[in-house]
Amino acid sequence: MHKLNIQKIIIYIFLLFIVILTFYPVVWMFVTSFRLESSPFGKSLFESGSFGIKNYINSLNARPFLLYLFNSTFVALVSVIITIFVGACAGYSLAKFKYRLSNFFWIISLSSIMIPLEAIVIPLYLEINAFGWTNTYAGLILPTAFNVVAIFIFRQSIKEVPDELIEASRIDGASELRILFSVIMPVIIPTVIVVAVLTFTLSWNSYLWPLVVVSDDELRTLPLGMASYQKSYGTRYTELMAVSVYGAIPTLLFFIALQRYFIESAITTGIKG
Amino acid sequence: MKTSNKVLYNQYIARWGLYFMLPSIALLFLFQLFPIVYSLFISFHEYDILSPPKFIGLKNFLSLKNDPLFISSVSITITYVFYTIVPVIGLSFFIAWSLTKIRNGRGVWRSLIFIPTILPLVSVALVWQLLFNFRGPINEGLAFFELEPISWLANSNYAPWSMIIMSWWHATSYYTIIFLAGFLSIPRSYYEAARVEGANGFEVLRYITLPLMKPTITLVIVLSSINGLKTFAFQQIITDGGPADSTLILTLLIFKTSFSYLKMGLASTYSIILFSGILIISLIQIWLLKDNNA
Repeated sequence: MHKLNIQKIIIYIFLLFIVILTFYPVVWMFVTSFRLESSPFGKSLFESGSFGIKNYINSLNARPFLLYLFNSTFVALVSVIITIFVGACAGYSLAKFKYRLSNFFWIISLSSIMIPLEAIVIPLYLEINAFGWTNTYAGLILPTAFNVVAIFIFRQSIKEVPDELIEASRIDGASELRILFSVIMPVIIPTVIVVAVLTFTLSWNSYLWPLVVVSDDELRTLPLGMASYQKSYGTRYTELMAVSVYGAIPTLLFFIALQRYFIESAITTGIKG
Repeated sequence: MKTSNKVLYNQYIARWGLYFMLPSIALLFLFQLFPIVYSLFISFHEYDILSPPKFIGLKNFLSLKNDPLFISSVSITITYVFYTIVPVIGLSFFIAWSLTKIRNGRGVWRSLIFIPTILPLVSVALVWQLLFNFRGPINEGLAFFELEPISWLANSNYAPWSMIIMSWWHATSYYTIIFLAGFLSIPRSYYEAARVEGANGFEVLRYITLPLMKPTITLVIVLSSINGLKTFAFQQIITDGGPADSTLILTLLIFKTSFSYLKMGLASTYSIILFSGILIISLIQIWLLKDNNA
């Protein structure tokens, strides 16, 4: 028993050490973002100095961060809506409909796991360019709207919805779309939230594709805006940290509100993606 | 009458199954399957967007072996992936195991450790760029132990290591969560049986935990290798491949060759190589998982 306690203490100390290492950069970012000098160096973390919100105001004046924030939010929300619609339809089809091509569809959908964006970014850009979709919201959103993980999650959970429920609605004369969106969806709300969180995070964080497809400042998403700020004001260190915080706050708030779903969606992505 | 109703119903089902699949299939063809084929097509051409593509056969592929930038980029990428995933897998396995050992507030610890995964990549990159500054906190830490400061990002010997160290911090968080999910899916009763049999801690690890965790370990190895190969934002933001191309990983080489130098054909050839690497790892995974089920 005594030995067990020592083991426990060592584990707690180890975890505490890991959490401190994990948090140091995050805390450093927050503290530094409030320093009034432009260089944060030569000071230990909480060493006194003058603090204020000047960096947040200055960076807002230098770049339209609110616009970037709007773009990111808009793109993420539309992506969520499209991915849920398309994913739920495909999931429903694969879970509850028997037809000749369904197996084939499932297999080619799965094959997309092996095609990462990083490997097709050039042809995709040329294609979007040919459509005239560079510097448009459509160009930002549609190419990444297909998500096999979303389809997989919907397929799994729609499988568990009883057939009787669906057939009863059919006998009542409900259309298939109506069955999917007003009979099935309400039963699988947790799944819908997992897919929403997953899609939102992916879109919110995406960097490579927006970088390729957008060059107008008006259409920049937050990550692009932040990076472009660094390219032009790279030595205003404390302001740069305020900019980092702008990017981090929405996701952190979102995470605090929906922790369970965040972790669940991360695990599902890992296991399927 | 009954049979014809059945036939009608089956037709109805088949029709709607197809309709529901159409949006997905359209997106899949347009934005994933077509591009991968198109990529192969471009790789046989010389193409700078401004003038029409010119067919040059296998020339792009044949030029790879005499392409110093490509060769060094492949080696940088492999080094990066290797030195990232080995410590990260060990560390995250151990952290996850430690988390299973505590009863109180596991959820809170888990959420705290998950934070790096939540933060936007660009925020992470901007912070670490400053942490690695010559006068930044990491060198101050070294000074505390009376070590010489290192010019982390400006020296081509250290810059690749800066990227690797940073990825330890960033990636451990994610794989810890995956491992933890794996650990928690091992039924309690296995451990209780072992305790009844009088197995010690090491035996439990060797004969129960490790064999049952094998699928999760395989998954994490595959996932972390693929994610390593796909890394782009950190290098692009922090070093832009420098100094002296020492952090020019494959994704960044592809990006620069295509969008800065407009050599679409050559860049597509690089992409095909990257794609093949990822494909091989995925196929190994499928093969290993099949093996596990048998």
